[in-house]
Amino acid sequence: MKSGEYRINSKYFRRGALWPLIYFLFLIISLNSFGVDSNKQVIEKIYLHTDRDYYVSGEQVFFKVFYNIVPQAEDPSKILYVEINDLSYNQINQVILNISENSAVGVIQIPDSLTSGSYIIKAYTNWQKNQGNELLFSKEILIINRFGKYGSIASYNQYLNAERTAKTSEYEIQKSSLYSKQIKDIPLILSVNKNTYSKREKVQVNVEVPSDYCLINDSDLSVSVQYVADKSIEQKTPSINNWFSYITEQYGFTENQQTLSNRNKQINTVYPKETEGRIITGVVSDIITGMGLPGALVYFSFFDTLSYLDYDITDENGSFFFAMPDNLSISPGIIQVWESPSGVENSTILLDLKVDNKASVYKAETLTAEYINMKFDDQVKVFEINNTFRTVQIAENKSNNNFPLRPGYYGLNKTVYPRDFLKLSGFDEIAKEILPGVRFRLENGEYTIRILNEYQNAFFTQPPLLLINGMPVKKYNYLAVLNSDDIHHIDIVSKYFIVGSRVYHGVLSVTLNQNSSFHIEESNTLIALQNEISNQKLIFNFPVYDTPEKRTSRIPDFRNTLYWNPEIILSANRSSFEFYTSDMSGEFRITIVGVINNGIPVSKSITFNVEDKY
Amino acid sequence: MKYAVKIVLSIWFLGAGSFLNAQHNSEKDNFRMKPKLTGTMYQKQNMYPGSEFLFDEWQTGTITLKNGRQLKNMQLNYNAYTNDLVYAIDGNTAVVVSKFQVSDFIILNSTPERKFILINGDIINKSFNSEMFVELLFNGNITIFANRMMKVNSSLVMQNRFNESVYYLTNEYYACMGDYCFMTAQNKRNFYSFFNKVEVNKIIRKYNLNLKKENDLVEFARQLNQLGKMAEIPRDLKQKQ
Repeated sequence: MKSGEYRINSKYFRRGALWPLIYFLFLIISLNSFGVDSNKQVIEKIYLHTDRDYYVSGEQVFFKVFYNIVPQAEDPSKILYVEINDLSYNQINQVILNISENSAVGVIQIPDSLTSGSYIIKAYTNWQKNQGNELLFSKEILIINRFGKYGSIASYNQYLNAERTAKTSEYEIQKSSLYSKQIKDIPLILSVNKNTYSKREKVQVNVEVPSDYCLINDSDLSVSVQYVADKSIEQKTPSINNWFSYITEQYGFTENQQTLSNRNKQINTVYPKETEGRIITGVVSDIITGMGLPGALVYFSFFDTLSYLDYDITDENGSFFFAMPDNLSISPGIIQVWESPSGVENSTILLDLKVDNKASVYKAETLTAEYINMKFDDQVKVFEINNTFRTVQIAENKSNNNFPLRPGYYGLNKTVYPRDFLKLSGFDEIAKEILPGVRFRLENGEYTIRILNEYQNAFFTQPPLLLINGMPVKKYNYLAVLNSDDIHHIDIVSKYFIVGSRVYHGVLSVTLNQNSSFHIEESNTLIALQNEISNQKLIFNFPVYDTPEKRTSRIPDFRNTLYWNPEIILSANRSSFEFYTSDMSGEFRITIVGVINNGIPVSKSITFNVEDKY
Repeated sequence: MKYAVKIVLSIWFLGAGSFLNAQHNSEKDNFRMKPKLTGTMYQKQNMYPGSEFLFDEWQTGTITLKNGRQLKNMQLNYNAYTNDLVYAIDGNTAVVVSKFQVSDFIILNSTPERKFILINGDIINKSFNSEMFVELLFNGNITIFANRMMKVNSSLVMQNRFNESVYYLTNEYYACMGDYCFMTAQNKRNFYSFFNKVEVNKIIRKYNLNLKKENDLVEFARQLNQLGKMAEIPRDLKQKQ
């Protein structure tokens, strides 16, 4: 260091010119570190790739979802919601999936009964709801009702006069940059060995990342080959590059996407990130005033032979939260209000529907059902033929669940199997004869239960926790009519039983036989919830026409999805795959979407033709 | 001096922010969806004088559940008489934890930390078809753990000498290699089947180890682990198992 420079700097310090600046900087850092919750800076991006853009009612939508979290060091969400909505925001169907290694592959069923029209397929995580509706990924798909009046004279006239009602939906946000902006990205090379094919001919496709792009990490790509049914009504869906870039711009991330700078949007953390599993949320409110009830006790259990019990006390807004335990997808979860400041009978429970259904970033172009029916008349016939001859076989690959982890009650004192005894009618007789330390009585017109405390050799003064098939039950009337034949076994805990910080005066757990007539009665204060995290893996098995006999087979093959593979992996910058054309002629589009190098989005689309000849 | 004060003030600004931020995060850690333990209230099963517990006082520790989630800053103790993990709620109620939930627990008060894991009693021919806690002393190619058991001195009970504790602590040491476990890990001959006899004796001589001492047993396991040469488990031992 030159001595002169030192003197100049030290002079400024001595005069105190820089100290206010330093204080200011430190103050900014201090306030910033307090005021900004680091978790709130997390942005999740989701892109959904479907096998097609149009479907016939009764078909399944095959999809792959790409997930990206910024900064990458943050814990990713584990749970993904994919749903089909109509344009009035009504949920048609929903699947819940686990996100694994930044992607999820699944399938969602389109109900048979849907009328023809535009629908929205949407993918989001719970955390993404904090980001605002406009950043939830959604895509428009067309659904054609196969029972519609297509082909009739009346419909044909309607078709001729059909107006394409380009309504502007209230949720529409016109972001031209989403579709047109040229994002500097990695130019994926997608090529076919020919431009025109005949029917039932092999198509060879090569995918390549230019060699000057160093492929260091994993690639995760999905590819679809679909029939271009009507170019004029192709849906507007941003590319994965444009979509991810759009979200990045919205939040002002720096280029390396590790930190926020000049953030444009403030995120309010309302919805927790589901990093470990599904989170169930809801509100307990007063049935008359509709106001949220703070301090209500809500139970969460499973209607099954093994016990699981969780509880929450509602907060100042009347909200409750439960973490859904892993691998509990077999039995319905039961959420019930157990105690409420207004009284249980004056309370009502409402589950959060996960999304307020006002999300979309596309221009919705609603088409009349007649127009769609006419336009896609062929597709319905194709569906019927394929359905009849099952050209495409879909293999179901259910993953094996581990044995469910269920933290059961502990310290059982006795388990009684009524089948080991003479048949007894009525639970009072069962309790009296074969349940030591259980007192079941009718007092003043109401049944009471007490358990004998094994340490004090005296009955608890408070009622025990009564579980029927693992579900807490408050009314004992049902119990009274049970016979030996109804009951598989009865567990008794003759000690103080504790869950979290709640103490129960013993436990009486009755597990019923399968033929028992007991069923869950849903009400304002009891909701049965299916925990269906889909682990279905449906795999397309396409026909292979590798012999002259197969090529001339008389079994019709009118596949409009020629190929769907959600798991293409690049090896040494390239990959290739092949498939056979079907009996359909016309234009087909190959679309490849994905991420490489652990998060760089790539996409490419090309078309080829199939001639009307074999 | 003036500069020093200014620097201290600056650091304070920075520190205050970090502290407040940490507090903010700790509130988030206390998020309501944390897992809840189930169990039964602890009540001593007999009137004998003395403590059934391994530790004289509540210990601060962490419980790891089988699904990987953790409960931190718990007040824990280990009932070595009934082989149960016990935690305190509200400072005075002791709860016997359901073993169905727990994978392991760590006592943080000790130096080094002490880790207790839940194992199937079958592998050490104890508590058939049920799980039991053992203390993990060393974990590598070779695993050493101790079964800490509080026993009742029956002679004191017979003599009605209840003016002193009737409980005394016993330890059984086990060594496991792969799936095979054996007791009396304190006997060097038990290791001859797996390691070169000369090298085993060499380690004992070199480090002057007495395998009857717990610390020496752990050091012995550490040295064997570094040796890295473990023989196949003999067939007769496998069959015996």
